[in-house]
Amino acid sequence: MRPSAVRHRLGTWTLTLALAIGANSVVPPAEAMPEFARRYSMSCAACHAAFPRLNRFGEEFAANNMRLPNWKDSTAKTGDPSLALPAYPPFAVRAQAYTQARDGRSIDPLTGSTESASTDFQSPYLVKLLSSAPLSDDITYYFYAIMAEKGVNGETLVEDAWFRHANVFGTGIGMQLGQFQLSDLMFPREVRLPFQDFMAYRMAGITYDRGVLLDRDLGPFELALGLSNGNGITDNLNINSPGYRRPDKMFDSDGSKTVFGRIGTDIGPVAAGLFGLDGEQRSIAPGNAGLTRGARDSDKRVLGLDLAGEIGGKTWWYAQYLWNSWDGFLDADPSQDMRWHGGFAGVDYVHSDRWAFSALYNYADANDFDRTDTIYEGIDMNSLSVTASYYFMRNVKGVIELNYDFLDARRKSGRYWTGHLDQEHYILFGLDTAF
Amino acid sequence: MRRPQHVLSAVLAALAVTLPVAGNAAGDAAVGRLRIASDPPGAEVILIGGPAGHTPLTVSERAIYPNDYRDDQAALYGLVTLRRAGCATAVQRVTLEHLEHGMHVTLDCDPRVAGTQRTIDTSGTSAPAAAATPETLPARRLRQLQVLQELLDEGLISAGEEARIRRRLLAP
Repeated sequence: MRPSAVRHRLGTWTLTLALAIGANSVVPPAEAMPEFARRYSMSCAACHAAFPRLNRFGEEFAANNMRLPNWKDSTAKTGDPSLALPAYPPFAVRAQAYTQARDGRSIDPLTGSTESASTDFQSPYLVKLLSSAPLSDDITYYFYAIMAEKGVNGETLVEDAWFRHANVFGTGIGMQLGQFQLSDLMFPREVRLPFQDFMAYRMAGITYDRGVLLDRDLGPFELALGLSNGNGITDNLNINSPGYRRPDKMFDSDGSKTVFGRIGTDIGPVAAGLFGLDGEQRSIAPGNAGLTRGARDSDKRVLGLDLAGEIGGKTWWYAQYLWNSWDGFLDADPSQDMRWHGGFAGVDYVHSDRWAFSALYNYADANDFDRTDTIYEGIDMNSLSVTASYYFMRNVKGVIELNYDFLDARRKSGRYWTGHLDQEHYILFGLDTAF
Repeated sequence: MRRPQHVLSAVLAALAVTLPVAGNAAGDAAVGRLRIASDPPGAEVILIGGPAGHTPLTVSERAIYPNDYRDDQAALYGLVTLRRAGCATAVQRVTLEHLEHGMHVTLDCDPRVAGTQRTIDTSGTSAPAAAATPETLPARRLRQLQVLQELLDEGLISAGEEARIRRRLLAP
């Protein structure tokens, strides 16, 4: 990254950083974690309105560095006041299995060769091993590893993995270091009720990254400011420039860092937040349907508005808007700034201890990517997912979900098979459990 | 011949219909309830939402863990308070063991006063005399401060929270 660009970005965020000094309230991402129920001998209902959706106490538990004040009661009695070992390995499991009938196909963007399976047994869809525990009065860790994510066997993927200090140097500032989703500042994907994802986050590339996040409450405002590598969580590069390869590794593939933050407050019964991100991403080389990385770093900016509320302890609603500017992203025309927007809105209604119902609307418009003959034409979505969750137990639910795609299938318009070539209707049935 | 996806769709629809049936077969055991008993019985049960009845009493988990509550109720989340005239107020944090086996609390009572209370209806279906006993403001403040101290001692609230609530209670 250009030094001037670094200075510019840091300068742009200096005011926000100054505001952030002194606070503490961002909710760390914490999905259904039955280990907490075991440790504190509390029902899942204490933290979840309907697993995995958190209720007010669950959100406050997460904001309190994922602990109760009596957390030391569940540590091993070592007699050493400087040692707070969990009394047993603090693990939990989340597992999902689905069966789906859908319209979508797998199409090679380059050749158009197509694999089609309109019915699909997706089991196991996901198996996660989660762990979290307080390690000291201020430090908590959390991580989970996914085995067989979305049916891909033969690999284990670590997603959330971080340490959090709740009160750095007694300033009241919380600091989270590790791997986490930037979008967790708004709506954590792991605690959503629908199967359908918050697609705008994935399309904007603001999910998993490695970095640091500072947060603090300042009067009625929640402030959070972070820095991340900005290249996701898969890059892992050998260091060999000093000669023979060194044992250490490099996770960032360029000199730039992404700066991101959110300021949130309550406006009456509505929780509102503004999100901003300024960073760089690798450009895309011409041709090859946009699948090949270019040689340049290009500017990336995201602005977001999030709104949420709760009605009567039974209904939760949320809405997210994202505006994206990927400047000079395509090497085919570096002078063009590619702008697009998207978002989602949803409502969860917890009818009873047995039933919960959800609706999620996803929207994205490729805007400037239209007719670019790249896979980014596919940032195009207009769908409604309706979900019914039936709780056999607090921690075991059956899920039925229907997804309706309002967009028509479009014909291939360029050399490559890109764009909204198929509709995305689906019906899904499955089981989701945590224990 | 019907296409496989049609068959699967039919299966999915059938499963959708049978899902609640399967769930009902599991019975209501999955839905948490708490049985609360006391010795002597007839104690007023106070949950985060306020008075819930008198022991013996069964309440739903959601009455103990409501999805939302006011700020000034936060200290009572997950707690059961038992109050009976002539007995010391008892505060219990609900645990998984309580949910499984029920909560039975032996109240610390003045034998002379408790003895008179035992004459009241203990079926739990009608309000005992204890509930009708008027409480003076100083006595109420003292009880609230005792509960607050117990919450702090049990580590259920932080020292900061305790100080904040104590200031509120003692405010003129």
